[in-house]
This record gives sequence, structure tokens and C-alpha cells, in this order.
Amino acid sequence: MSTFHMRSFQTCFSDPESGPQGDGRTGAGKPEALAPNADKRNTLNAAQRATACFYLLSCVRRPSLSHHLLFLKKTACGDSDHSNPLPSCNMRPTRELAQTSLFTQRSEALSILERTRLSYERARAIGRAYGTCIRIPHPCYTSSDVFFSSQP
Amino acid sequence: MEDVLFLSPKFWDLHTDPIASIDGAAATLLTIQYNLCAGTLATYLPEKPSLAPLLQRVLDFEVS
Repeated sequence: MSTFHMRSFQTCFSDPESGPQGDGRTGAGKPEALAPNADKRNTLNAAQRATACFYLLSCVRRPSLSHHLLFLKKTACGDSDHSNPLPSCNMRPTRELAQTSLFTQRSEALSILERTRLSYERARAIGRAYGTCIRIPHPCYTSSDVFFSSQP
Repeated sequence: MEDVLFLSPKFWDLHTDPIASIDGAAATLLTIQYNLCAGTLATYLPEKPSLAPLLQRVLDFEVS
């Protein structure tokens, strides 16, 4: 977990009356130092709980590899807005698709022909999932997604 | 007419989707379908507009 997330967690779970607990290296954040205020930590309001859950889910859903790839994608597309350290991947149209039986079944016990068929069905499902995703009026990919023509 | 291949953000999203880690063969088939097959057909689309229906069928994953 990055320093950014750790600071967010410390801010969310620190006692609002005693102020921030430091960076964790000064000893102010030790369990014995927080013990007298342990009951106050249970009085987090809804906003603090929601913020903590948001950062927890953000860390779980974003493995470092996908985060790195998304950063590369934003760089390659010329997007100079790097202020957000966690680019959103909640908009992936394949999020629900990955939990279906098509992607959860194991293929080790299948024959080569069945594995090939399964992989092809998965590829088609991914392609159609992107074709039917939001903000695209056409139900599937169009030629403009892979081709752009211009006249000088 | 000057033809320029253009990779849209949606196209990048497809190729950077973490679901590709579940099945590498499916990811390979997917990139073949959209890059090798559709990309090649799209290159000749301005000269041969009759390829448009076939290209659309490829993009819809109806033919491979």
C-alpha cells in the first residue's frame, strides 16, 4: 500500500480531537498511545467510514500491474493530468464478465479442442462487452475505432 | 487520400484490461481479431468501400 493510502487511513482513523497521529515513525501512532481513546475510534461518522472503505476497495481492485498499464495508456494518449494517483478502472465493461461462469471455470482438465473453443468464446465475450459499453451509440465496435482517415 | 491508423482510447482500454490475465489465449485471439484482421481490412477500406460490411462483421466478432 502506498504512502498516500496509509496517510488517508491514518487520517480517517485518528482521533479528531487529538489531531493527526503523525507519520507512524514518531511513536504517536502506537497502540498503547491510542488505547485511552479506543472508544472514540468507534464513533467514526458515515463519511469517514465511506472514505476508508473507498480507499480500501481502491487498493484491492487495482493491482500494481493494471495501475502501471493505465498510467502508460494515459501517457501514450497524451493525457497530461497525472494529479489523480488512482485512475478509475471501475468503468471496465468486463468487470461483471470476469465473474461469470465463462471466466471462472477451469480449463486444465479440458481437451485442447475444448480449451480453444473456451478461449474463443471468452475473446468474443470480451469484444462484445466493449462493443456494448457506455457512451457508444453503436452497439459494437465501428471502423473508426481501428481506423481514421483524413484528407489533406 | 492519406490513411492514418488511429488507436482510440477505447481500443487502449481493451488491450489494457486486466481480464486478459485470466486467459492469455483469449487475449491473443482478441488482439488478432482487432489488430491483424480488422486493422488490415481497415487499411484498404478507402480504396475498397465494399469491404465495410465484412469489416463490421469482423468487428462484431461474427466472423474470424
